[in-house]
Amino acid sequence: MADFDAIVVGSGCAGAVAAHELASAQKNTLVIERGERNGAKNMSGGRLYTHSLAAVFPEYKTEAPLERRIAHERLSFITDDACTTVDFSSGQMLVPNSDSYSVLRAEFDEWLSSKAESAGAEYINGIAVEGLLKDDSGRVIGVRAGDDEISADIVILADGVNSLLSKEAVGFKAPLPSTMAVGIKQVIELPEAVISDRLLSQDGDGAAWLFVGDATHGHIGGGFMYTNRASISLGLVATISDLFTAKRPIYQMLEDLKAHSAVAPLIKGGKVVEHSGHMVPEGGLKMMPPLTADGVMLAGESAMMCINLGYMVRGMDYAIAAGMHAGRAAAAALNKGDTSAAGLADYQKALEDSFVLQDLRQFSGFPHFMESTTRLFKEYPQMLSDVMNTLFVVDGRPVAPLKKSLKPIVKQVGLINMLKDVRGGIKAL
Amino acid sequence: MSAKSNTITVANENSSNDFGLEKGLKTAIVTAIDSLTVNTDEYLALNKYEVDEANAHIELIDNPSEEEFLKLVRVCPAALYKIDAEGKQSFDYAGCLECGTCRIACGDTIIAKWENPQPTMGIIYRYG
Repeated sequence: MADFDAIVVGSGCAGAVAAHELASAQKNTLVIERGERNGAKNMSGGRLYTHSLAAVFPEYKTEAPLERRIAHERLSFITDDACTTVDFSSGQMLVPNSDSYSVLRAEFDEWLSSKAESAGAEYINGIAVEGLLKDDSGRVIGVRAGDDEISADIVILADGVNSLLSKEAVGFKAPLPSTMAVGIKQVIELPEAVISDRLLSQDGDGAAWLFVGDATHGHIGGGFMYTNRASISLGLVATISDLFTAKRPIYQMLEDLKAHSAVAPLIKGGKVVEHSGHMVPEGGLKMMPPLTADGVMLAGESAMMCINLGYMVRGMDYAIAAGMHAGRAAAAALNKGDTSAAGLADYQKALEDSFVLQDLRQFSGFPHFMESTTRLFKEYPQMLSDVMNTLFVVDGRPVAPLKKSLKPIVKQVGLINMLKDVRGGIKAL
Repeated sequence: MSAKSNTITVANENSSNDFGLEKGLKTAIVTAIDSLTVNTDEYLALNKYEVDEANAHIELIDNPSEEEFLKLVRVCPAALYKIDAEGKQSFDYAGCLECGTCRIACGDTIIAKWENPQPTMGIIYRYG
């Protein structure tokens, strides 16, 4: 008999939720988390869409450590000295469970794990799982952590984007640098009221802001900013392989972004309290590993469940939903006494029927579009800035007809190229 | 922060310029990378770590190629990979954010070992 019904590796969004579902189904569940505190090894940009959290924890609004409700969506195209911004707010984005909140993972993951623990899951913290135990047929039957070997009928890998176990579990080779981005972030402390004032937000509300163009000095990627209650999360995400030719390292790009005229006033007087890094899978459905093998399942970022659309980055809501489905499918498979890949097939099916795999499939062409449309990061921000300068700058010289002023600007990129890019973008979305 | 590494020595805790580069020097390094205004070590000093002095969880091969090393200089968010104007490379795992970017960038080339730090060691995010 195995030591546990189930072992969950990692206590982030996917792992803690999977453990909660298993423990709630009376399964003897062990979570092994390498952070001494749950969340101590985790970082994310910082915005959680609440719908999938609501499906597991309907009481989250009063319990979860949410920072600010996102009431402004901002998208800016920036050059070295210009910034063209779309600022969107609506009643619809504030409707409960269609809304989103900024979060800080150290606190958030601690809360999520407390839910799993109250449901009955056991925790071992501070030790990384180093390897998997397999029987002669290759079936996963447990884990190795430190000097201990612990067996279980099912192992769920929720050990994150830098999983060192997915290769052993399902034969997943390390992803290519062209399919992964590096994220860098600083948490910058500011008084709560100052943040509300600077971001034109009501108490408790805030903004999500993405920056395209000079944030990455024309390289593939962008800057992000999320308002927390009493801090701002400011960072960059950039495709790893594209940075290989960059003139400036990623941390210098972040420093440059902090000094940009569109960003500097937001963080003025703020105090950096943490500097962090985390990878972001960008390859979509095409880069995902198999989600199950005999005795093992993958959920969340260890399965590369993430989308980056430039104007939106999502991962946590996928991880929570995948954790929920993984936990439930594992419990059902344990009940049937069959945790082989065939016995776990309901997990794949549940994800296919949900937004998780449907979204990842829907946007599967987008990574290629971003990668091949480098004009998004250089030419278009410049074009927007030129157009805006033409419209808004008054220097006393006689004004030329608009058509005449705009023509050379548009010509830089070319109408055909623009049409091609718009068409490509629409197709990929 | 100091750490024992069996690969490359650790340098420049007090440097205001991570690479000590000056504009105008006509070396290959300078053409490859702009001079810097940021000292990332000052930011890392704000983080909480339990540094494992006895174990390097990341190791490089001996004599890594400059081309590959420069990739890591550009992508590591903690600026752990440094190169000076003379081309001297340095690497210090002590400030690692455990993101794995170097493993993805150069796991097949100059990264010889990438493991999670020993139990309870490494970065401890207080915000995340």
